[in-house]
Amino acid sequence: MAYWALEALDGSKTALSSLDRVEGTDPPAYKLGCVRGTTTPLLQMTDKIEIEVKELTEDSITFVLSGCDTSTANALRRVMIAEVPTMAIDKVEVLANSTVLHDDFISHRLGLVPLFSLLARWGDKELVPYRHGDAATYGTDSETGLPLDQTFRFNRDCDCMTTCPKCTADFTLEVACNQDETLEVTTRELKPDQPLRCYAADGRRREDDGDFEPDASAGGEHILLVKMRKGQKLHIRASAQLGIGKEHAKWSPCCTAVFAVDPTVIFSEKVYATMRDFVDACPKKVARPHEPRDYLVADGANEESCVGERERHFRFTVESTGALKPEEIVERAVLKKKLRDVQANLIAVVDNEEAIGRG
Amino acid sequence: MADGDEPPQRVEIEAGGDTSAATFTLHNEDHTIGNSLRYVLNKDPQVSFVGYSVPHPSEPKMNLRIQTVGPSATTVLHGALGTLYEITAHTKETFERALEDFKAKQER
Repeated sequence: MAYWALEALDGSKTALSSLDRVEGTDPPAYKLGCVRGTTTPLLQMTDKIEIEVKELTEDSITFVLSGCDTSTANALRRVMIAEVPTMAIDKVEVLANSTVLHDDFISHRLGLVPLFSLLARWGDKELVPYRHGDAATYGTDSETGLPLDQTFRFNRDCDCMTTCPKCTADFTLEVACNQDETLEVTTRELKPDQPLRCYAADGRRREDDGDFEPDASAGGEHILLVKMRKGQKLHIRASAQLGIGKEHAKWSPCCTAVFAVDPTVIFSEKVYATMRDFVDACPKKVARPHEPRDYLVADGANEESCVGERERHFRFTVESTGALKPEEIVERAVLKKKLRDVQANLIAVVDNEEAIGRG
Repeated sequence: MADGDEPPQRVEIEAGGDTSAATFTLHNEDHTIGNSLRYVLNKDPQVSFVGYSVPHPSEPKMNLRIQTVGPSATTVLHGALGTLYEITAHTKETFERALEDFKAKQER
């Protein structure tokens, strides 16, 4: 039944979107829920989404998203935290460990090390910008023979039996302490098998000189894993795989991803008159004359002024762990693939029910 | 698609008395899609009621109830997914433009 309704109204069961863009509007308006073949344009989407980037540093971005609903802003925030894929160490093989930290403890610490990879993405068809060249000079990885734009796959989706370079990046850590002083083992010793595709994001790197040392002048530093005394040994093989923050927080590319709502302050006419100079002095005009219909006065509230929330205006701050550039976290935090999946599934289920009904 | 190769079923439909009302169960989804879908559907004048719930935080599923004034609930949900897709696509475009503007301003 549902299928027929879908086909009759939509014209085609394979049409993925029943949404029509309203021509000639900028920013674009949409006829919401408008079904092809029906005569009434149902509603014009009034969402006029605007974004202004306020600040961008090596590891954080601040931007203002305005004109959209709280639910949309919150969806963006949630996706940035939980659903942007990154690489993280997931499987650890301990060959030798005589340090004071037990195997599980070190494995856990390794898992939490942020790994930088431009090739951690949903889907493997997207072309990615590579740090050491542009599209013309991609070349292949000498270790694996894979093209340098070959993105990592989820291990569970990969066609290999256990692990392969398409879904896994291996690391080796082999240290022995032969000195009298305490030896600090850091991510410097964590040697990537595919150094061009995935490596520990332990600080900001100098660009394009092939030097993998953190740039201390920019605040970069190797991450401490364990401390050793004379005679102790540590030998580990670790495999990093693609994952999302929903599965484990180590795959989350964000330290923090928050949005704040700016306040709106409304003064009554009486206060405004006495404070006109003060109010007018504000360059952002946060204060304006009171209009009774703008707010409801709660019991006992101060009727001379009212502090409210600025609607449809969200100040985002996103900090990166180093696993991705902050602006890339935002760019990749788009629900698109997920929505298409759900939509395709909806059609499949309806088709299926129809087939059963006929049988 | 070969047997066993099919994607896991992510949507279940529990139809109401007729096609105008139905409860959809979206597996592996949560408030991220739930709340934004509810917002989009609420704006649709064809929809007389829409609500969503995540029955238990450790159960990865989300229930979405839609009642319409006539058209099939499935069609309306399908349209809402399309709308949300366009919103996210537009947000991404807008962000990329904003980032370019910002970088251009920095260079000046």
